[in-house]
Amino acid sequence: MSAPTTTIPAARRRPLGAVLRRPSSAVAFAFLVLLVGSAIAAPVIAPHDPDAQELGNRFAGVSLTHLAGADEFGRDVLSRLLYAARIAVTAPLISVGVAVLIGLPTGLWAGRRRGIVDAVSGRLADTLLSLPALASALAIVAVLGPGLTNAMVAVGIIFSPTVFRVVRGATLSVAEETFVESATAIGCSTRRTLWVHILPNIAAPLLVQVTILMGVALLAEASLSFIGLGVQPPEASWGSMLGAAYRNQYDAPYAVVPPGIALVLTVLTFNTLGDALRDVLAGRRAS
Amino acid sequence: MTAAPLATGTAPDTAGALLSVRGLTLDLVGGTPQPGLVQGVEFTVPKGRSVALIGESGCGKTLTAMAILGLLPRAVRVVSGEIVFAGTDLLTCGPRELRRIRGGPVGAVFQEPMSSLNPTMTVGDQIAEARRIHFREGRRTAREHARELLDRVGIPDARRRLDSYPHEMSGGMQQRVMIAAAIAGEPRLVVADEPTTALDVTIQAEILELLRDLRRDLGLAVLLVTHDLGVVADFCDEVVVMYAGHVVERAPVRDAFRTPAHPYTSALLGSVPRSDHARTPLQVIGGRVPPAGSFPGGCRFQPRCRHTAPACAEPQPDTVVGSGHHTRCGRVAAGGLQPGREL
Amino acid sequence: MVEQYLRWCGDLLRGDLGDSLFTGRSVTETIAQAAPATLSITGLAIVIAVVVGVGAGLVAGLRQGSWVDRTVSTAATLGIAMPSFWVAMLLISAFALSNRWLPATGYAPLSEGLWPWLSHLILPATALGLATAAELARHTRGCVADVLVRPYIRTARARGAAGFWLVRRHLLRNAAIPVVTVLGLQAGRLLGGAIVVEVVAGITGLGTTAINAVLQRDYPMIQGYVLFSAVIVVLVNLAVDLAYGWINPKVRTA
Repeated sequence: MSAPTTTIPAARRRPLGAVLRRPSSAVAFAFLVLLVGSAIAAPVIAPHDPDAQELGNRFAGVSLTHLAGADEFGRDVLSRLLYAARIAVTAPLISVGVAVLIGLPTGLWAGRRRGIVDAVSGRLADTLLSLPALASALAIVAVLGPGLTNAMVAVGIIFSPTVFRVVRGATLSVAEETFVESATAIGCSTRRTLWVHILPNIAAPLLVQVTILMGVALLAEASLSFIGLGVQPPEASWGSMLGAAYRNQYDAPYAVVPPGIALVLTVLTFNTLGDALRDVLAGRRAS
Repeated sequence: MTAAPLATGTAPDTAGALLSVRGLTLDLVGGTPQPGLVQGVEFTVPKGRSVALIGESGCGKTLTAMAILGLLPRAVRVVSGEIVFAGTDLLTCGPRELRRIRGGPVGAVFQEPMSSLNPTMTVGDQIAEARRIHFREGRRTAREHARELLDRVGIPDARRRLDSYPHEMSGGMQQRVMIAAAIAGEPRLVVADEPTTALDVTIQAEILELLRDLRRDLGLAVLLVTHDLGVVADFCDEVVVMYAGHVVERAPVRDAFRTPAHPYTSALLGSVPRSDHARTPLQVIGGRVPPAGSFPGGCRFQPRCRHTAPACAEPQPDTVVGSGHHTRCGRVAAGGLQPGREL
Repeated sequence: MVEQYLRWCGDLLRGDLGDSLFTGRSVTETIAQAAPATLSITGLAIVIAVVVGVGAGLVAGLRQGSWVDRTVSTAATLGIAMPSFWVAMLLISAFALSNRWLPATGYAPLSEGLWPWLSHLILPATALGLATAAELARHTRGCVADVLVRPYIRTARARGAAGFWLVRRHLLRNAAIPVVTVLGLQAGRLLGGAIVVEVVAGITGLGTTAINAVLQRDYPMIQGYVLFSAVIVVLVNLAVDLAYGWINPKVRTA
């Protein structure tokens, strides 16, 4: 079974290296490292306790003690931004985790079993996908109750048909390949076929989808926290900070800027990395 | 390397020529650059005559045709030369004049009619288009002309077919539509790029028959780009043989077939089965056309030629070996090799 | 439970979605009152997104590699990453608060005149449509680039078609086929985005109604809202399918 040895493109050997060779995704990756770093180190690097109120300092402008000013309760905005970075990293992970938890096994199952299982679950996924995402998320939050975890679980449930589709599609195409057929022929158990042969091959499309969903999930978190259904006070996320900024826009019109920019940069980071991964992996498949 | 031919008296006889291409040189830029992708190409298409441009794929024949139509890909640049059609140099006339000529006095037929026809436009609209652009006809008049043209190219039930879309037709019908659209602008010259390649053999014959009728009835000159020697013998008056961007030989069809004056032409002829020489073994030309970016100096055919000599590494002048018969083989020109199919 | 659900379905067929647990008013009536504002924002957002997105994508695709192309591609990348409610806040702050050119909040029905209606909606609808415009611009650029290299474009040029004629008769329709599909997928996203943008723009519409319903656990209201949104999305996709058939003759005959 020795294929003719041709020069293997760099992308095949090290997809991550190929992604990072692009200047835009290198910058995005650096930003992601910075973001995760500040999320972890928030207690160390934050100049103030994010929840410490100093009512005398309400809407204080930029100063040496408050590098990004203070909010309506006199809390330090920079510290709150840094602590909110933790939510920006973890909240999308909840949604994506839930989506993969639901979408991966069902997608594998539908892709392997085909037939009626596939037809029914496919229809179900299509129906769920045709619902307006945020509206369905609201309905689920209504059942689970407001709160960050519930909101992100709801978003994850909304994402699961997308993951299901990607996994199912990849499973179907991998199952057609000769190596899977021969594995089945020589008597590999279904479980072994799945782990050894199929999963590694659907990892790439799944990784792309997950990266892109991270950005979408962050936007959803911001929306839900903005309207008060996500993160609950006094905890801060960029979305809820924007909500506060909105309520106080006459007193502090510029408060909408810092959390918004943090949000845009982070979403941009996920999107840039997702696009780059997709391009690199698509090029790999083509070659 | 000089782009201009060395020998004197080789400039094409332009009297009576409808189209004359002189010293056309194209460079490939970007990717793997190739200066002289097409180099010093010379030939003429006389009024009402049919000239074949032949060679293997990758030899620059389609690019030459596209240069005439002003439709070269972005990566290909015209370096020098003239393409004179009815007194106008198409390379310097400017986009406005070029637009007046394309689809008007110069029509075009491409290979693969399925992808060369717009899938979202009715065939009637596509045929009428040239009438509307070049004769400023209204929708109704142009449509009436389109119907006549469909009739003319032998599509039954033309009035109903006007409103068909290309995907509703067979390949042969589609190519008839393309021909109808090409002659809608009342051209004097039709550039046909492999018009029969993508079609079934029986349909090929029908399409050639149609082209022959149109040529006769409309007094059309045709530049036929093809790699099918059978089509050339059947349809053309003159032949221009290209190899790796050079014109290696041009001659009246009879002379080219009887006494080819370039080893490449002879090899091409030898690779086609002939009914009258049933016992002759088919020849194969070893190797393949070098990819753009790696053309050899001097005669570009020398790596594959059976008669290569040291002199072949020098630029080969265009030499007249008979009436209207030119070759770019220095050994034939010097008398070292005799023209003929045994070359 | 099952019985309850069946009764709800039965009432639904009569157009009765039940009564709000909180206000006691009929859900159908509440939705009918709130819907025009939401549909106005969403509809206007679609119009803005199509005009801006398709226009920008078309120019970018026709001038590939130019500064216009690079600008459009950068703007689209940014546009996709920006939360619409944040953009709405920025726009309102710039055009309605710092400069009082447009009203900052509220909604005026179309029956009060075109300008009152439009002046209240233009900022939130622009914000809402931005991400869709960005998505459309990307797709349009890609489709135009893809169509431009097709052989039939070369054939059309060989017929003397050029400039506006070539774009209108040969490029637009072929490039529109995938773009229309994307537009259909955006309908749900726009309705969802409208929820938050309504809050920012102080417009009482379906979104604000739904948020209140969630906070109050007003289940009949939420059911009604989700159902109505789903119906709208289905209708939009039906329209998209019809448009698709009109644009693409291959689908029409199939």
